[in-house]
Amino acid sequence: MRAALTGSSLRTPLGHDVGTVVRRLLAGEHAARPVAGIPAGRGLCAVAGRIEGEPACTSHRKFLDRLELFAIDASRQALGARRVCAERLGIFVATGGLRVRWDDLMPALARQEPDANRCWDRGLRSLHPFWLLRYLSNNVHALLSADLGATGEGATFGGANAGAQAIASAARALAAHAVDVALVVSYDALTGPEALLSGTRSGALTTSPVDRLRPAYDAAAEGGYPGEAAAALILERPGAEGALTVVEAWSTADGQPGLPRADTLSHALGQVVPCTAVLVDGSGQARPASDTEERAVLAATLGEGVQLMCLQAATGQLGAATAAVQAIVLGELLRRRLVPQVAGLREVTGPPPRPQGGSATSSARAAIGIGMGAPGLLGVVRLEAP
Amino acid sequence: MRRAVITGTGVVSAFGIGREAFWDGLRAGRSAIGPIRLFDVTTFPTRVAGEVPLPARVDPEWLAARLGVACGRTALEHLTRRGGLRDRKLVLALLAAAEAWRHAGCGAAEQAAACCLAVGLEQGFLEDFAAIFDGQRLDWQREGAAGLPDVRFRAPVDLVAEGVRAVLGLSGRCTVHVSACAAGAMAIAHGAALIERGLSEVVLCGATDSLLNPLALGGMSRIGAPSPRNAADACRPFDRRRDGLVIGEGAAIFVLEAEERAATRGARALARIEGWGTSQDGYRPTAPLPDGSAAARAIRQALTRGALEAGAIGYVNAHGTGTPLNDPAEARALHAVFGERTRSIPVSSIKGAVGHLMAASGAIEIAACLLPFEHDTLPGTAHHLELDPECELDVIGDQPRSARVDHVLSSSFGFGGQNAAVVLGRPSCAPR
Repeated sequence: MRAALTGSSLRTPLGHDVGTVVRRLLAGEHAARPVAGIPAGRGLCAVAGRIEGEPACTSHRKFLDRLELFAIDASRQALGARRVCAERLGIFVATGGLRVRWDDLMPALARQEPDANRCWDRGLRSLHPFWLLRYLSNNVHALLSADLGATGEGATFGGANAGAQAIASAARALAAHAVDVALVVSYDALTGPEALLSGTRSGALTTSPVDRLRPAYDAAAEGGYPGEAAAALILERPGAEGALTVVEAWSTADGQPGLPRADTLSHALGQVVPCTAVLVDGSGQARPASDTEERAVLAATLGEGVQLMCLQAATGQLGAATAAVQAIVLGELLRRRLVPQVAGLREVTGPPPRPQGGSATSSARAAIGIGMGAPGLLGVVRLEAP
Repeated sequence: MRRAVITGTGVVSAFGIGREAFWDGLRAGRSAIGPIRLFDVTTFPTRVAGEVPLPARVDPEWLAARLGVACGRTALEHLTRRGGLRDRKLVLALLAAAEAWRHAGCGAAEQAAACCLAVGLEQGFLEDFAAIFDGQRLDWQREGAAGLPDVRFRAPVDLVAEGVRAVLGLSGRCTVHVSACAAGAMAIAHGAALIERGLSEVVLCGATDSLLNPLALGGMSRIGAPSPRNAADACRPFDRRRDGLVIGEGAAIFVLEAEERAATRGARALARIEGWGTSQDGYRPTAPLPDGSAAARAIRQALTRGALEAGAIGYVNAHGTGTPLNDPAEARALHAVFGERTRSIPVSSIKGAVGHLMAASGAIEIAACLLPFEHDTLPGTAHHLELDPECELDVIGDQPRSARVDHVLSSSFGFGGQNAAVVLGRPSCAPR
């Protein structure tokens, strides 16, 4: 199902507007910075790409964390002054999962014992009365619908490819005329200490310091680094006035405990409408074996001539936010007919398609963004110039 | 038009493991609410719940024997090594999914099934914090060197889906719904949509949730949603004296398949998914829209999608939390849809009997909605004694009612104002 992208907004480690993000991508910049409190070289991932600054939204601080507030900011900006009938506005939210706020929890945890006996008296009684509401999985959805007075259809999805699921679900609701305008909101942060820990353990994240980072598709890559982002898309039915691009999305999973198999990607790309000149934003795992496999699938399904970039080499891994950020950035690159270099790329081996070593012009009229995550989750977005 | 039918059901509830234990409990008009035994709750304000009778620590051999799924031993061992079995949501889901899979007679021919599951809040494991707490902070470097299980501090939101798919060997698409208390119904609606649109032939869908861990129970206690009375009748839906919900845990998972496919392979249809609808209150994160108008819209959508008149509904399984705000808003929603006929439609809520299963509530309530088709029995409303005049409904009392109905409605209203409604039909009725 295709939908017209008629508005968007994002908050990423590379910037708070698509113009800045694209400029920094074209300049080959990346957003990886050392993580405070976790020294490099101690066996944990110690770099991350974080969104700079603080969210403008302050009215929901008692319910929402920083990233959720960024998601509200992006949603408000994407909607702008648009007026939509409340019953015809659908909201489709994607979140990678609930992220722990340790500052919230520490007073409740400080005196706990492993046996959990008397745990209420040992600290849980000090939890804020709204503590549970802060961890509500559909917080952003709830507050957005209240802010906007939106009463149409909607759902909240969770997991690494939830962004692609939310776009696909919104497109289906538009096609079925269940809603006239769909607000798709995606946000995720993989930058918390527990996420650094599990990502390092699984081998997904690098333990290299910032100055020795190698990106996806580099022969010396040793893993990605975590990032965070929030993005909002306004989708309408194809043909809508003011369409920036046309977007469609697929999500699938193949039951693998780690990344999805190559044939899963191959099958998904096989469903994409074929086109000769394609810009591809790869999944950017920064693990040579999976990077090589991904390139082989791209060559086999889309041809050796695709232009291969990697947004997440510059922002860090974006989890559930990947598909929506890709939709915005790839749409802008298509419009400008440019393709950015893979930030930090030094050494490329193996057969084509070769990742972009430098920023260049592009004749692509379509772009594909690939997002992968465990367990076996794949999301694909396809953008087309209107 | 392609329709989805339910051909398999698995339920784990406070009544025990298995759908028969659940249905027997409801048919007998019993309540399974009792003291929380999983951990020391002596000084918690909330000390009763609908706790599933599972061991506090689930042994993989114990679980494997109950799953009875030969293909999943390696996957189960992998989940055990990762520490996944410490998460009750996963254990509950595995038990329910395996039962549904067996019930539907599924095998290799169904393993391309899609998976649409709903889960609730992730949980922390208090015993893990103590191991790395260093004065005033958590020492993540010490944790990094400890080589402890993966599933600590929080369970990944898709761990349940990963575990269920791995144990059953499923290979189809996968979706995780996290729309709070409406998530279970949404997951089932999503599964039905995949079948109606021809995107899947078979879908395993449903929900699982457990708030019975110290952090979540602590959070619920602090917010004040549970009834302050720590009694077996703590939750009294639609009753004049109601004063809050009672926490439950459990899972309900279904096998959905295209009606023609089920007929071709000789699988018995338990119910047809006639329609569904979703909406948002657009009101407040902490309270339902008092006039119930958004919830009513979800119900109307479900009827419209099923090409049914409101008069077709013979029973409503209400969300019925037993909280002061939810029940009257829900009653108003039903009045908005059914008009003068509302008082003649039997309505009940099973939350007094098994508790509020949060993300899984919509799913287990759809499992309860199969009773009218399987046994011509409408579940009762445990502990409901005196109707609140603000809830002018034909509320079935604490004992079930015998009746034959052809279409039933299940409604779910999530914290944060997300609403979902699902209409089921007796499978022997001709599709609309």
